[in-house]
Amino acid sequence: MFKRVLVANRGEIAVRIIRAARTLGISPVAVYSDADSRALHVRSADDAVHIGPAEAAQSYLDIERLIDAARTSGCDCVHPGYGFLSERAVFAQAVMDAGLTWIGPPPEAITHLGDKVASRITMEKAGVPVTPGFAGGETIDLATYQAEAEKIGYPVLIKAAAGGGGKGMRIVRDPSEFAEALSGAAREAKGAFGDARVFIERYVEKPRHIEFQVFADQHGNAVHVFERECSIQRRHQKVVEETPSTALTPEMRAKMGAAAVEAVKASDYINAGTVEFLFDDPRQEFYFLEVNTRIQVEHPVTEETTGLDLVAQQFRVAAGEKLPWKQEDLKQHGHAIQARIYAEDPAAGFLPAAGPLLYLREPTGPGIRVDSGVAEGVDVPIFYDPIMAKVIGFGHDREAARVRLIHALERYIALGVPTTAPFLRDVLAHPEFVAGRTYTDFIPSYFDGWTGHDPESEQVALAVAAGLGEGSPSSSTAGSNGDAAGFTAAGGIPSPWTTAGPWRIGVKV
Amino acid sequence: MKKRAYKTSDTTITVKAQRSETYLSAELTPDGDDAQPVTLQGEFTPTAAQAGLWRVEGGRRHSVAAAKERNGTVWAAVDGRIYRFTSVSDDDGGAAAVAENMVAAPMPGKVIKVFAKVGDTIEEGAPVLIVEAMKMEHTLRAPMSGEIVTLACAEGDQVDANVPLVEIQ
Repeated sequence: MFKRVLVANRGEIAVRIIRAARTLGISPVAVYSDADSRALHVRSADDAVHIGPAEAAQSYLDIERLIDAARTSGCDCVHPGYGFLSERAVFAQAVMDAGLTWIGPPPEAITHLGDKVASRITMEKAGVPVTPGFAGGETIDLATYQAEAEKIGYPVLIKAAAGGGGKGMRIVRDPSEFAEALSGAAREAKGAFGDARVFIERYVEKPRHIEFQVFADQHGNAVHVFERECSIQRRHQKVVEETPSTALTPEMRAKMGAAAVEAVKASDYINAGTVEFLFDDPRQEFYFLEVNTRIQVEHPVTEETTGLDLVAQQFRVAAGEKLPWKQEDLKQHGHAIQARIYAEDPAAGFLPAAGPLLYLREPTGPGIRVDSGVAEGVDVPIFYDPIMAKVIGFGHDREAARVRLIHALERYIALGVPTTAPFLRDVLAHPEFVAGRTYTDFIPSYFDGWTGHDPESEQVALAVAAGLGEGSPSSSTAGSNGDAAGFTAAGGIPSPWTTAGPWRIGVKV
Repeated sequence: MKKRAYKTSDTTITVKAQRSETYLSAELTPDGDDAQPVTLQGEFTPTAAQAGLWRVEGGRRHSVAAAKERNGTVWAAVDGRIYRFTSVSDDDGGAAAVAENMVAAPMPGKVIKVFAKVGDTIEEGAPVLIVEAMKMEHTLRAPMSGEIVTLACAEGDQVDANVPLVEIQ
């Protein structure tokens, strides 16, 4: 096994990797930019290396600095997490060229599957169903693309060839909007991935997003570790994920799982990955979307229902170990739901937010898991993906998991930065969610104009803002600012806290 | 005891609050001549520096917390619901809002596309700027039809939130 790992990431996933490394006796080394010197992942690691300014391009995306950091800190492997450089074959190759082990799939598989166009072709050949679409070319020619879109039939979806995470993606319902959407998608793709190529496919109006966790070792073994349903999305990004999906029959699960394993085998894949499908409920059909060649944000729901540590398993596979399970050994029990806490204002179109985390309390308890990347007193920086934490509820069935997660979200209190926690609490309480009728249009359909405010609790909030928020308790109770000086409790009995003056336990000062 | 005035989503409310370690009371008076003040008071049990359980007389017990930013924004949590209020001083009655004929970015970001120049006539709803924040593009559209009289940014500029970038007349 490895001795020391460079965690080439930040936030909650860096903390998660650090935890997994420790269970294997691997010493974790963090990296940080100027914006993250006090961040939780830096505090959690054995060592931390400064890699540059706040801008990701000069820190978390700078391959040379990361390789240098791994070398100078004596690491023998690199874990990329998700986002940043996790799906960049050049980084995987650079790690290997430096004589270090890459905790992830081979660069060839990343390149192949990262190219949405090439991977579509591979999947079609392997017999994995794909949506009707147009693969596009090296250059974007409006007339050709427009003609292809007509052929596929509106609505169509424009997607970045190198993409993921909703960046460089546009839904076009009307042919007149096609030109603007195409240039916008290409520009966003270029900005986010350095690659302007886009492709078009049929847009399924009321789909579910169902993905399969897969794992393959270096000895030719591959399994799926069941599905995750991630239909609750805003701006094409997932916010609530669960397993098992309410939509799949055991037969459909077996069929899709087998297709996912085929997808892995067809692409010479090794280590953890996720095969994403669109599921068309009324037709009971599924279409291959893409393979994510990394650990996913939503991996904890799989862990909670299988008892596995997927991140630790990534290290084991990279070290050359065989998968410890065959497909028939893998069993799921219970139900898990994850809510992503983003620094975003759900009442203002999910605008990304940043700022000082003035107060933070995270929930605990049976069946509650919090994977967090933030700490009270530390700024949430504007420079990176706004994910702060993930709260996961587990129960013997969906309803038990749902109720646990609702109570957990009510106890996730972050002040100073708007978060999605109150919004997600209401999502989980919605009758359509309770009924399991979760489609990707859930949020725009039911939560347009959501504020999360009600008149009664707003009055309480105003009182609390003035009563508690306007100064530290030491100043108000000691009466030093005059605000609460001489205030007496109900019934006119003076409170010792307001009258005693400065004192310490045991000694009057 | 001091008076505080807070802007909520639809009005300005003046709050007079008093707190001891075990009691919290507040009088809320919304703006307007016929507005009736509301009083909330009850036993308070602190659980942290600026958090606790508040049993409001005539109501139920709430889990509450509050914190204030340096810029005067006050945050309050009530049973998991989060509120953010802007403090306003008694004299000016409100923080400067972006005027209706102005275009401003709703969050800090980088201008990646400018669709118009000074002197152009523009229709309401037409895209004026694209601002990128956290790798997502946000199209800013004209709030009204008219002529562009001021353009205070160029492609590549880093801009702050709520600072007027385009003026239309």
